[in-house]
Amino acid sequence: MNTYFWNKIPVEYYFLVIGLYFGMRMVFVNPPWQTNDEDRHFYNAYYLKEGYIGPQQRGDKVGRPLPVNLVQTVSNFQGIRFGQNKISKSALKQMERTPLNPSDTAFFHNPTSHICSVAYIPSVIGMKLGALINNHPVWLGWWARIGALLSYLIILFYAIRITPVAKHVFMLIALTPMTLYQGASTTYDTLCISLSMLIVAKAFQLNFRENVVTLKDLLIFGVICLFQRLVKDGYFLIPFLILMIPPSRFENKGFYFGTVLYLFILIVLPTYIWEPFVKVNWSDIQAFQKDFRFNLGENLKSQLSAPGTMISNLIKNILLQSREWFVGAYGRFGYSYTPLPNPLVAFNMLVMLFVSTFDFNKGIKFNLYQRILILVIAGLTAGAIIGGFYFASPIGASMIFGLQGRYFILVLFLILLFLAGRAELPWFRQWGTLLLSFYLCVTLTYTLNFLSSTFYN
Amino acid sequence: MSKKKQHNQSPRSAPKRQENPAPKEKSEAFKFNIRDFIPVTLAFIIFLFLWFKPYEVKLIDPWFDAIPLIDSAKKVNDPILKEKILSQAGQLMGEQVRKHPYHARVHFLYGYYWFQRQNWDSVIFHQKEAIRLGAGGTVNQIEYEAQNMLNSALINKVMGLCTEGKYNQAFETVEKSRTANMVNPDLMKFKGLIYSREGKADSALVYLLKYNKTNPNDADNLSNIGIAYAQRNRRDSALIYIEKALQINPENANAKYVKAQLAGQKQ
Repeated sequence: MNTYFWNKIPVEYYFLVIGLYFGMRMVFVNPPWQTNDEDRHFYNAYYLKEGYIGPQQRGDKVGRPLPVNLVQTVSNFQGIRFGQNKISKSALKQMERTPLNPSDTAFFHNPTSHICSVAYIPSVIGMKLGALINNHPVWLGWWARIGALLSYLIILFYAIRITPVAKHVFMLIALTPMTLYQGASTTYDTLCISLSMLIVAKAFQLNFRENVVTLKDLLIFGVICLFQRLVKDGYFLIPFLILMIPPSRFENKGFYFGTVLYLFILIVLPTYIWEPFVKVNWSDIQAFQKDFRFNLGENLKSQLSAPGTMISNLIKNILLQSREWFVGAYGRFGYSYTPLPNPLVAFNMLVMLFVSTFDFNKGIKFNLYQRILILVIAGLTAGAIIGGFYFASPIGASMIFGLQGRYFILVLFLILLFLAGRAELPWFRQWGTLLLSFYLCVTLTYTLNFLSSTFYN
Repeated sequence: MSKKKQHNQSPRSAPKRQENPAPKEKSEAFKFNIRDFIPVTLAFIIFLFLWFKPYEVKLIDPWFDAIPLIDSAKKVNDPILKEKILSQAGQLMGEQVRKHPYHARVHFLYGYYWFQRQNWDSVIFHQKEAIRLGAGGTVNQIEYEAQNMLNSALINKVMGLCTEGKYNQAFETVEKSRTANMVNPDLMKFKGLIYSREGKADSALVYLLKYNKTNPNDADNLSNIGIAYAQRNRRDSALIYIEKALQINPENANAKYVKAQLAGQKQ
């Protein structure tokens, strides 16, 4: 079999070049603070930049002081109905010149200011460095995104480098329009997605490498898991993938059981680490949404009083909303109102199945136990997301409220890993990386044009 | 990660792994084993099933169950059938309000039901509850919708009472419609209207002009000010406001009527 020169270049370099080019373009094509809740995430990042850790309560409001000009500039980009309106590029250029006036501050209510600051470290680094060049509010937004994007690319570059299996699946998921869009935004999803994929890669590396798992390996793995848990809830089962390594592969059997214990502690640990910084009496705070009452405990009680109806509702929700979730996982932009066309989403699902099936692994394959573990973690993560949102919906609701397809990106990733490397196709071994890169360039070019024509006139 | 680095990670004494042997020589030929394709085929079928939805699923939150009934009742002319549909909707909505008295949206929807019934007291009560429970949210704000419906019910109620000459009761209704969480300038307009209907043009003007400060483009209010000035025989002032009302809404019936009357007086 011929080995072409492009096969000598490791997959992670293809990822880096494509991710850097399209990611940087996405930073600027996506209008300022247009990603889901990006305005509030940006405020959180700004608090950290100013040295504030955790929110402060003032009466029924929670947040921190922010420059008035910053909040006003951000507000100009909120609530735009892109079906009827667009952003004028010349107006945006003009807005880029609005000064920050950092000393003219006021306290603004930000109901999401309790999110752990760790999630915003890359954006803060981006802002700190970028502010040396230009510290106007719009530019601070761009710098925060650039910081986030670079962290996303570096973490995933390393993840693809160390994973001995399914490198193309990693690359495909990391460069779908929605994932890259999140990666190139100021949001906790940037680190959540990249760190979760790094955890998976690390578990695969430890499992498939020749050497046994040492304490040092476990400490590194543990630190990554702790960061991932601090960044965002919902994906706490992914670190359990390390259990794919048999106990005999650990340097000391105690390490294996210690790891299992640590993973369980990890589920609650972030609460104890971050909670002391959030000195807020939430019952006094203005709720973010008040047209319905939201209370996890009361809703749980209400739903469990009719378990048959609850199960039926959950199944109906999946049957009813799953197509939208597929679309959301592939490309639904802005405040989730701007989806990519359905045929493109469906076609991409077929590409994903194809790539995962034939993703070549140099002869390395998961055994049955490992595949089942991946599938179980995917299923339980999906269940935790669906169940979590169902119970977090208004008390007594039948429909799942606020669940978006992008939350399933990592579930989709795990399902593709479950399917990965089932069969070998010599042709794909020679041309796969090149064709996949070409495919990603085409879809991302389309996405950028789509975003540009949707958001700007 | 390079092999060199991998070795550095492991202590010298660490035993070598037994399972998952090192990668073997890759195969050149395409090996087709049907068992390898079963999982991906299943995944593909599940995807097609969920994507094309060859099934019909009906799922709606219980508090929205009655809305199609209320909307269909609006289109029905047969009073018996209309009553039957509305009774069914009322039963469903009443049940939801009893079950979820803490949801502002449910009170709002129940108010909407009573609006179709033209039971203004119930509309006012439930919209006040919706405002009390729901005002102050950052997203999916309900208070403005609820206040609009409350005001629509209130004006109907107040006008009915004025027609019956029950002015005190009309004032009482307006006072009771106040909500702690929101400013409602329409209440001033309604008070002005009651005074105007009672023939107390001076008092009416106080409230109508106050309301005009916050809502200068309300053609109805401008025409009411015109009427109050006309009642006070201040024809010029009346004409100014009537003209303003017609400028904003040339079809405003009250303004057109008063203008015609004033023109007649001149002749």
